[in-house]
Amino acid sequence: MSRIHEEFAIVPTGARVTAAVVYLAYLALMGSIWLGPVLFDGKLPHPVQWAWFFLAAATGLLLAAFVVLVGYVWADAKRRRMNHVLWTLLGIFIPNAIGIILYFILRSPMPVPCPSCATPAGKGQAFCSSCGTAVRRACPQCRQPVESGWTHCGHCGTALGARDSA
Amino acid sequence: MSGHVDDLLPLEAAGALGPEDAERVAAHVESCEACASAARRWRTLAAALRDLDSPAPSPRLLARTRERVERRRAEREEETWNRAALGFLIVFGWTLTGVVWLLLELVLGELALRSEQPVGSTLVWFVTYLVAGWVTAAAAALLLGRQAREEGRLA
Repeated sequence: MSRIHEEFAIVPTGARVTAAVVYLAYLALMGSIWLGPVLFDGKLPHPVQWAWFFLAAATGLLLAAFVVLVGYVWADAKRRRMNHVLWTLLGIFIPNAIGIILYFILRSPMPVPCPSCATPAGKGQAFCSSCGTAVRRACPQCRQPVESGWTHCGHCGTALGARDSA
Repeated sequence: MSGHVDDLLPLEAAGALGPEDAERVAAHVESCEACASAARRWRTLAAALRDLDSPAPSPRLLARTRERVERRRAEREEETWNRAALGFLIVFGWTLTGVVWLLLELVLGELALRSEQPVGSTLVWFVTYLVAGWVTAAAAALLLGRQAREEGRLA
């Protein structure tokens, strides 16, 4: 399964259904505006009216894609242990998908599964919250998580050796 | 004699030379006693090293190293995915902006037809929408960026 399929699979069913409903409602609205008056009169729409309708139908796909993306933000923020309600609201209310762009820039890394019990551990955790197993490189002095490449602890300043790893 | 190959001899002893360099070393060693003697010493050392027992790494170290490599690979994949997703989203955002123009044109046109009152030009409404959108986005980016920096997610 490709990465796109994997990511799309996390979109909740509710978001997919909402996207379909939004698209159909938008299509009905556009149909009633561009084709309705003519069809009700028993005439065939003018090619220009058909063109407008199909253009509107294509833009409706973008709106449906937007709903799917908001659903993705909801599910992804949840699995990354972020405030998913806040991020979903930002995704919806900051226009032109800027809220979703901000989410992709600022989202937390995926939690690491504990090697012993598989409980996910967030970025700020050096030890598993369920069984205490080390899940990340930690400072030997203050036991805070440290990043690879650090020569000194960013929390207490202790010099880090090669052995100070999880 | 000029053109000594001292720097290539350890590699020759380890069997790590390409065919061209190996041929060059062999030709030189035949005519240069100093290099031939050095080559013999390197070969003796290489053979002795090969005879040494190779220490087996502990299973824990192996597992930890494998896990670290996997984690780095996942991080790199995530970075690549993030870049691709951001590129797509920027194009998507601008396309949505274009759609908003179309929708405004449509809605304002319908409103003007039905109410028979002036509803303002599409351009004014569109610019207002854009400015409001960018101001909201900038405020959100500032607040969220500050929060992320405090949490250490941004450099």
